[in-house]
Amino acid sequence: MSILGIVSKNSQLNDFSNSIEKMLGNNLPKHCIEDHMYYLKKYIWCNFDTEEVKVVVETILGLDNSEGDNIKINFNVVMSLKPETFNALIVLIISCKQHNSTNKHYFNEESFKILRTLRTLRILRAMKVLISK
Amino acid sequence: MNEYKITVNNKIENIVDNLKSHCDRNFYNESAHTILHVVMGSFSSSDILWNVQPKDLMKLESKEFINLLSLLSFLYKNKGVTAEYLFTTEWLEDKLVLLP
Repeated sequence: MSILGIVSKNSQLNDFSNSIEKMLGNNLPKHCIEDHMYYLKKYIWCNFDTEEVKVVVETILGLDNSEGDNIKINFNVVMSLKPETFNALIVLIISCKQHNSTNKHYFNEESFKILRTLRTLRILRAMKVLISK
Repeated sequence: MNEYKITVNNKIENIVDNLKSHCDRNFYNESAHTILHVVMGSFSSSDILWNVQPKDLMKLESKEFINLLSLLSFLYKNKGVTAEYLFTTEWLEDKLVLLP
């Protein structure tokens, strides 16, 4: 069982059975956060051209105070993510809240630049400024 | 509906009651708007109207933050139950007509 009680295929993510209340009451274990962030990064890089990744990238950028001014997400899309991704995203949101920090704690400036570039490319493509082959 | 009544346990009822009560008491506060947007967005098929800034979640008080994420977790695990059913259509409509 994973952190939210959802069965996960990834054995690295299977060690956690705390409920959200429990997670929020205590600091999340470092290894728990690291495993989920590792998954999230890998997921983004391997699927960056898919629609599903869009909400993940928007959430990561949107959690940052300086960059998140105009970034909004829809929770209906979040609810349609696959369990591992949903878990990792919730862990990211909870850990940001717990540490009263931005996600720069987990994503360094270089990762941020790449995520911002991915977002810009997606927007330009949606506006037909860029045409995908 | 009857099936849902059996599935929905007391814990989630408490969570929903707490969130409703917070929104009732703080209707003109940003935190109530964030909660309503997340709740509506969770079942309103990607309607842009209910989009939320992720950083607004960070501004919620701990209790509301825990309740909201617990609600999302419950809804994720129980796909047959919607936030509309838990909060009731009447209550949501009452609030939504007054949203700025």
